[in-house]
Amino acid sequence: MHTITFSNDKGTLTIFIERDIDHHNAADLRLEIDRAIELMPAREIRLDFDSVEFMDSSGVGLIMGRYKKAAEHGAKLRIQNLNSRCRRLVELSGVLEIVDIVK
Amino acid sequence: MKRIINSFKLAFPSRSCNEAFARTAVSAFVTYLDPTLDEVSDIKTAVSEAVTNCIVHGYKDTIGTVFLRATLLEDRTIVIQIKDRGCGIEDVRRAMTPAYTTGGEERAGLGFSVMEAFMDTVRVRSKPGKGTTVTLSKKIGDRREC
Repeated sequence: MHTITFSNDKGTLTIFIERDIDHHNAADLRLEIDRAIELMPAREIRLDFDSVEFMDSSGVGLIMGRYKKAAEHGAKLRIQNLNSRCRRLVELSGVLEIVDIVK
Repeated sequence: MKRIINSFKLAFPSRSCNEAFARTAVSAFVTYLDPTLDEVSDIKTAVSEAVTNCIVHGYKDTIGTVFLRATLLEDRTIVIQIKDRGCGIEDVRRAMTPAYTTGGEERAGLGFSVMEAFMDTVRVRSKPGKGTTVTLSKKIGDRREC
């Protein structure tokens, strides 16, 4: 089962997360996203949550970890297309102090 | 004492694949009260956090049994008790501090903060070496009055 897809356009790597994010799924997602970041150099990395129906605080850990990973590769991390429930969790977590929501 | 209108119990091994099972079971159970999508999501998220704590902390490096009991009360409150017989918590207050974690591996340390934000009440009882019981409750709005 695939867990992410991506598009790479003019220095922006967009990674579409294709499943719910909990502690169980986070480990695989982390590996796959990091592999994409390593293989495709970009100035900006966008995590797309359009297909994420549910996430718990494991998703916040995933975002924080990818922020660090992107920084190691000289890229900025942004997140987009969160549903209202995921957005509320992300707002509550304080992670928006380091990561912007673009849409 | 409020009358109980329905209840169920689950016991399952502390494998991470059961996180989705536990939160989905509770969300199906609460459907009887005709909750909003947001209310269901709040409950699923809180259950996911509590069950993950049993797996990541209570039964760290081992597999034990997680016990879940959910009850609907006549005043439209759902009460969910999630229990492990794992290592217990030395300092509950510290464990409940936002961003405090012993989890490593990119754990955000927000489990209890999320439970407190999304539920009406969160009670934690723990004894080192004996285990931890988290009791969550939330009253579901009655939209028939609108």
